[in-house]
Amino acid sequence: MRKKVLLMGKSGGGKTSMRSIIFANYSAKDTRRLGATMDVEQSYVRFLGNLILNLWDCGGQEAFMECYFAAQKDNIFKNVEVLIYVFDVQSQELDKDLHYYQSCLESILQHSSQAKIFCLIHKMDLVPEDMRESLFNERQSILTNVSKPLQCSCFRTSIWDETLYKAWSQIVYQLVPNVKGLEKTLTNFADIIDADEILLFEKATFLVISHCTRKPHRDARRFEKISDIIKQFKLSCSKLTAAFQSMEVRNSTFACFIELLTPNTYVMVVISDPSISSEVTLMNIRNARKVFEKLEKDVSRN
Amino acid sequence: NQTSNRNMNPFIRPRILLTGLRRSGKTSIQRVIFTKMQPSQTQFLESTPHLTLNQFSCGSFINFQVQELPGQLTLFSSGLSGGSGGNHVQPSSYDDDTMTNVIGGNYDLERLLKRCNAVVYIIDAQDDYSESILRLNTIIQKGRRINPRIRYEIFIHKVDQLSEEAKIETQRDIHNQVRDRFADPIGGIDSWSPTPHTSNSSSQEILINFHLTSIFDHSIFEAFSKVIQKLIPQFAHLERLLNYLLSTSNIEQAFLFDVQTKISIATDSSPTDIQMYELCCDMIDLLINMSEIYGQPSENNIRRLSDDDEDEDEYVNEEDENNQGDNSEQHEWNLVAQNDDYNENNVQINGSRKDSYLNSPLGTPPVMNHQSSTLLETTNEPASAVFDSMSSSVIKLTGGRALYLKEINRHLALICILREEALTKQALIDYNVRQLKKSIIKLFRLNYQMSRSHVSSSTMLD
Ligand SMILES: Nc1nc2c(ncn2[C@@H]2O[C@H](COP(=O)(O)OP(=O)(O)OP(=O)(O)O)[C@@H](O)[C@H]2O)c(=O)[nH]1
Ligand SMILES: Nc1nc2c(ncn2[C@@H]2O[C@H](COP(=O)(O)OP(=O)(O)O)[C@@H](O)[C@H]2O)c(=O)[nH]1
Ligand SMILES: [Mg+2]
Repeated sequence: MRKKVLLMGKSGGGKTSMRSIIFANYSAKDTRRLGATMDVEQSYVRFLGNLILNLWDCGGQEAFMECYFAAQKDNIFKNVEVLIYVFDVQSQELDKDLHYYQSCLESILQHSSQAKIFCLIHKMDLVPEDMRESLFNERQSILTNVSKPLQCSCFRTSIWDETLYKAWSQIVYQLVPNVKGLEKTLTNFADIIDADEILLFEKATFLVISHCTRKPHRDARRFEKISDIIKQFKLSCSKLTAAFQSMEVRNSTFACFIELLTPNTYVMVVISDPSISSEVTLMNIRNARKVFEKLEKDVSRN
Repeated sequence: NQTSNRNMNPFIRPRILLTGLRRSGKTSIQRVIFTKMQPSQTQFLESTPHLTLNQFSCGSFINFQVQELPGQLTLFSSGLSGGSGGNHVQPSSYDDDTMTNVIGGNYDLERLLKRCNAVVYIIDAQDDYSESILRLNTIIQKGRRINPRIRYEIFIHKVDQLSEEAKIETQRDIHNQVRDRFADPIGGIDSWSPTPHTSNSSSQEILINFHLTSIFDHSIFEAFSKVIQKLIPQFAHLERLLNYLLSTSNIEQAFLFDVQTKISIATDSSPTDIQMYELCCDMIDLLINMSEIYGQPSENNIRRLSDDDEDEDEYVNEEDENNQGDNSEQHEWNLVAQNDDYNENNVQINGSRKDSYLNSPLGTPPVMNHQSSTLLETTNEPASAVFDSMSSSVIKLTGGRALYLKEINRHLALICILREEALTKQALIDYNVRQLKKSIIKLFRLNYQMSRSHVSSSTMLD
């Protein structure tokens, strides 16, 4: 199963940077080396077994943009599953940015009217912290307006913090087949082993694709923080030419395990009952593998 | 006075004097290591035009004072020639000695040198460093006279912008300049670290090390670790304990880390590389970050925890109390001590007269003793609330490697690197680590008691 994802927006906006961090293990610092993307760069990312993401990173220089809406229009805008439009929050030419965005929407409406649309207000780290909220709300309402009759979801992002993972996790969530079935199985599993919380990560990206929370938690941003934390650690392992495999962390109030669940997913189990030993939890995770593997296979067969 | 005796005792806490010219990166280094500031945020730090004393008391072992010299004063260094260091021994002559002012108050400097175990000197490698080296040389000369045991750790700093060759070239150049300008007036100093000739043993021997550092990677943490390791009197003993753990538990490498600062206070005696060191640092980050999300003690838990502590191993318990007592008294004592120093010098403590240096016309040497404002800051990072007696972690990597972390006390974590096979006997490792933990805590307790009863006061490094 192949799904086409379009990445568009002004040159220098940060498209290639985000793609490289999420899918190619770049660190935020590494992105400073990236040059402008020439024309369209396609890449394929294996994602959850049979699902293959076909990313179209469309270079944003004006000459290319004009071309996308003219000669290349059919080729680019047909069969699009997801459109990600990146706005550089520091751009001085909002009107022009919006103009291109609207041209893009017209083409989408014409060729792939079912596509899900995401707008990322990017480089938010450059905006003073106390202004981020209001600026984002302002941009969001403008974008919601100009997007009509299509619907768009807006996120604020920066490659320098966890907001990146929040946005991309939501995007990817749209692409995961049988999300509901996955959630149900996860809940079942959590009940059996009495976990506070279980998260399911896509293996390559460590984005959260499903979760089950049985005990309320004060931090609503924890999922993207965890993606960020683990990705950072994975990067530092790769310096030693070793790769991260599994993890157990605990103190006197919790124990947390990250283990491979299926060939394409990691699971994270959080338990606060100190009387449950590590061995038991690890064994439970091992036993759950079959169930999840079967679920994944069934999905990809359909 | 018992308190001051205990705290003066280098057997417990090495004292480091961190100094260097204005904008060399002193404040940034402190902020990054001790208050977790993001390196990129340091560009917004303002340089203070005051003489600043900063008292850091982090973890159980790292305690140092930072003397920051306002840059304006260096203007008066132009009239110097190399040899003025040894001439003025009489306190009365200090007031009109420009050199004194350049160094940031001769009297203070002598005091600080007398009491410190190491001087960490920061040189900005991206800048013209000749003036900085001049100042360094003066300090070394003074130090040699006042306190020959001092180690000099030269941080060739901000090397992140330099190529590999430029780094080596800069290091060689600075090395030579320090040697030439310094060796000449004194004569006959031929013992240069990293491998000082032990045959040449005498008070003439000066220990100087060079480190290439930057706050944008782990090099600053590693360099600081090396400085600390050489100063911790328990280091040899700790190293032996870690070696023993290695041999009994099939472990490849072991580090003892101060969790708060990510300074490694001891390692086993096998050679370590910076990548391993970095990975250990990142493991601490991982542990603390995850614990902050899921392992925050709730109100009830805090109570329960402290109750638990009481019926735990007696060593652990006592150590904690000792630390607390030590910290607070340390803190108090330092304030008193500084008061003494500066009252003699007529310098205000926590003074708010920020105008003094800035307003003094450049032609007149500012008179340190009467006009400066001195800021005394005390940074006493509390131990992380989520790092507790049950903190531990195991991480498996591909290629059969694994990392193992265990809490030793509120401030210290043991990190081991081992083969995954060794983990099949994790119970054995757990047991051995518990024994190690007891030995380490005993070791520090012993030292504490010894210092308390005034035994062995000045014998560190021997
Ligand atoms: N401050 C900040 N800089 C960012 C962020 N994301 C990307 N950048 C920087 O922006 C620059 C340009 O990023 P690219 O990813 O090459 O931009 P692009 O959208 O692919 O540009 P084209 O390929 O020309 O369309 C890089 O130097 C990135 O490091 C962000 O969130 N914050
Ligand atoms: N490139 C680089 N800049 C640094 C480094 N350390 C500090 N700086 C910068 O040097 C400047 C002066 O640092 P500061 O700590 O205020 O110097 P101080 O006057 O010695 O305390 C700041 O802008 C820092 O961001 C480093 O390792 N690399
Ligand atoms: Mg690009």
